Amino acid sequence: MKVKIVEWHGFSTWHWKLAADGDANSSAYVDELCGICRVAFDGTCPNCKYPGDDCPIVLGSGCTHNFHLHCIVKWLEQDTSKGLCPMCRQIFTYKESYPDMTEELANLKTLIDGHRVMRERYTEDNQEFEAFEEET
Amino acid sequence: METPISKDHIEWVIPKPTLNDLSSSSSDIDNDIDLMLNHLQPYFPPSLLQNNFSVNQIKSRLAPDKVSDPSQRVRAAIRSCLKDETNQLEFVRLYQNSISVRFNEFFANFYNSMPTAQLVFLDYFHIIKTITTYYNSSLIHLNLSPLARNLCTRNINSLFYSNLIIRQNSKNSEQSQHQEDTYFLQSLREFLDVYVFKNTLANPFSDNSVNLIDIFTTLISINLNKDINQLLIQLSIQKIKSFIIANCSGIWDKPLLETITEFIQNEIYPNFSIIASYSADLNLTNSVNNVYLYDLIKLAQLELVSLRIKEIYSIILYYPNSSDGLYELYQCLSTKFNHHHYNQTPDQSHHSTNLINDITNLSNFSYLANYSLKSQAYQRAKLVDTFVDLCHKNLLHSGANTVDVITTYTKTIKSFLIIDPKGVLLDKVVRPIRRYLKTREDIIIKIVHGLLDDDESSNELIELAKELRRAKAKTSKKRSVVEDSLDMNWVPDPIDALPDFKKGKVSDIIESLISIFDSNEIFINEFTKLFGQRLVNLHNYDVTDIEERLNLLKLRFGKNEFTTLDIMIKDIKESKVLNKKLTARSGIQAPNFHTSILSHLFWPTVLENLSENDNFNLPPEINIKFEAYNSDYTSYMKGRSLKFLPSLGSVKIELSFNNKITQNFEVTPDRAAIISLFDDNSSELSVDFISKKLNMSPYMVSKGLSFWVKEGVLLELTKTLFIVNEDDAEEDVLHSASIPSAATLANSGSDKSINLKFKELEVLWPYLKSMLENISYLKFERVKTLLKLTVPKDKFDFGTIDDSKLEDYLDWLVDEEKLEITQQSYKLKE
Repeated sequence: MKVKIVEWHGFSTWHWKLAADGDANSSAYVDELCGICRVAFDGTCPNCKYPGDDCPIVLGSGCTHNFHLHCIVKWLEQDTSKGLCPMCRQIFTYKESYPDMTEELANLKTLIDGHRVMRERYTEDNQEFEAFEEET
Repeated sequence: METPISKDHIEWVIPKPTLNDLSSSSSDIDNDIDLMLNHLQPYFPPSLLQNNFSVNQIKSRLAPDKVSDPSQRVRAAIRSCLKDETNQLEFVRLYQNSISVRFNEFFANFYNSMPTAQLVFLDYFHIIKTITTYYNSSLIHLNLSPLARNLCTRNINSLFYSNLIIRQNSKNSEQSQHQEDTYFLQSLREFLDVYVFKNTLANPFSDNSVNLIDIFTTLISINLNKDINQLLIQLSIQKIKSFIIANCSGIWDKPLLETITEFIQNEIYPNFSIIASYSADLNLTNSVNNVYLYDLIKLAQLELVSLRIKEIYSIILYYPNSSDGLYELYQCLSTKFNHHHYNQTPDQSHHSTNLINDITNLSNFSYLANYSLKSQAYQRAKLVDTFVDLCHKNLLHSGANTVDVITTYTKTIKSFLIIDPKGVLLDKVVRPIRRYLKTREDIIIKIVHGLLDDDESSNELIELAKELRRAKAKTSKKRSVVEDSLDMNWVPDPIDALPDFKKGKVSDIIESLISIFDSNEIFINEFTKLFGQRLVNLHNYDVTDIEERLNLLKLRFGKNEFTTLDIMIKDIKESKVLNKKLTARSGIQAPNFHTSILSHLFWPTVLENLSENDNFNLPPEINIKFEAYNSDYTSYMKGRSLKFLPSLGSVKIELSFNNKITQNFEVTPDRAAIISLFDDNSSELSVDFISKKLNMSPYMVSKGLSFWVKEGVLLELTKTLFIVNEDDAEEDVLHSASIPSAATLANSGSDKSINLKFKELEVLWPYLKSMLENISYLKFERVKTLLKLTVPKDKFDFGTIDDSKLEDYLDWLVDEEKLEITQQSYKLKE
């Protein structure tokens, strides 16, 4: 007897790949939450309705922390964040895995850049100040 | 003479002065008085005073005797005696007393001696007529002044009244006096019944044998008009009542008010009004009689309402066929009859209360007492109470079916909105039903399915689905207090509304059902569950139907309540687009694999039911395809990957057997995975093997296998071994084509498989038979060893089978009735 599969209508679920070599079948990370809004990555940030494309996530590259894009942008918009990861206080950078830059990502990039400029300026100021002290 | 009345006892001791007392006194005019008294003797119609006066005599209608014309001398005597008014009055008083003695004697004698029950009204009438004629003729010659004459008539009338109406047969006790009519009244009632109502000729007075006009004028002359009126009204009410009961009970599907009005106008009212015009006050004009007509119709309506109140539960169950009846109930309960009438003809208003007054006067008659109570408010309350009682009795108990309760509930809502469009009665009526529904566990499911299933045959609550669709037209707007205060046409809630009455809450069926529960959430969850199931079972990714329904629901429950469902629908829609795109992008991608991609956090009802058991291995072919799909997906949707849910979905497969016959199936993935292991594999497979290979629980495997056995695709060699049914495939296909019943398929399949299973053992039968012919009883162990000894090795190798198989074979032979088993020993069946 021959068995021919004419049509297979399957069901699958999608998940964000969090680790670089994310194994799609390991369910360990399914419940991992965004460190800011405490909602699963596969869910949405508090302001969004539809998960997935409408509410993407950002993977930290400096540290191992990931967030909903909307959440981290909101955090970085605050001056007090000083461009640091809210979890580990390292300078926050992200993995630019998306080839096409969305508006939101561009926004994130601007924010990170802005913070970097601020930091650089601050260290310059500090150096000047220290230099001045040394002189006296 | 014995009477229980104490007044008589007093008079026994101190008799009232009568005319007889006059004759004993001495005076100038002695002579005259004697003459006059002689003339007036015996103060009562002599024909009635005979001792042997009998029923037959009455029946023979003796001619009323008149007082003989007085002689000249007597006339003179009368003139001289009754010269002035004082004398006349004095005389009348005495005369009256004389008459009264005779009267009482006569009637006491009459009631005691006569079989009164046998007398008809006309007999009574005859007596009355005789008496009145007698007195009238005697009074004529007395030439009394109007005042004295009036006094005299009044006295005689009151004598009639006390003897005919008040006086009771001695059998009746005092306290029952008001409950029962005297025989006279009874007979009068019968008379009216026969001659006024039963006689439906246009002119009831045409009957020559009975001169109705004479009768009524006579009766009215002795001041019985009030009693006639009472009887007339009672009779009319009775007629109307029996007419309504006969013609209206159980008939709810056509308008009846007109018939009733016609009946009253044609049957009751003509005769009624004629008699009423005789008996009523003289100053009543003809037009006033119309007032009686209105009142009669009103009475009829009250009667109809009472009838409907008794029937209300059945009427509502009968809805919508009973809507005519319900509408008339509304009319009866809402017409402000009297007010309306007063407003139109204010000049008649003081008359129009006559009948009602008469009725209220009659309230001492117990069966009429209801009428005074039957105001609309009373009837509305009664309607509610009766319905609630009946509901409790018939519906709101633990034996009732939830669907029935819901159906009745919706019917109640619609019906009571007809009876009372303001919804006040409805509000009161539904409260107990709502309380009850809240306790039913399956109500949510029933309502949700009722709302969403459009199939008339399967949906017992199709009304709800229709109602939901209807809602599309009207936008549900919730009115706030502010809006209320801006509404220029605002009217206060009706007076009998309960404090928390809100019309909108009860008048809309769906709203009314939903509001049984305090929170919508319970419904939303059920909807999500149901839609989730439907979306999973959807194979063409077409969500328009579901979306449409969802939009209807959103109108009801609010737009923002269905977030989860929105996401679910979007998932399916996106899957459709994505499947198309990915298929188009990679030309290699065979079109026979596609997948719905779910946002796993938002399909709780579907995904929570999955367990580790559902995680079986796919056929390699499909696995490769999924991996390819997954990598395509990842490259398309950056940063995301898919996880396959093997147990969900559906598979179309085509099985082609060696004999060129092909069969198509649409099955669940687990069954597809199982059968694909038999692809190009003619050897048998064990459950364990399949279970290991597919990483599937043995239970699931055997379930899947038995499905294929049932379909005739596989054969069950043993309980654990299965093989493709190549040889019989053709036959089985034919079989399944001719007999679609799954049960027969299963039977034929298993029979054949057993046959086949024991084919190899068939060689043992001759040996077994000869063995058992020699030794009648053998235990299994002995059978085995003996067979091993007798059967040659080249015919059958016992090493290839185990004991259980041999035992199965023997048991099968028992089933085939070749062997018998008694006390674990086998023997040949005779």
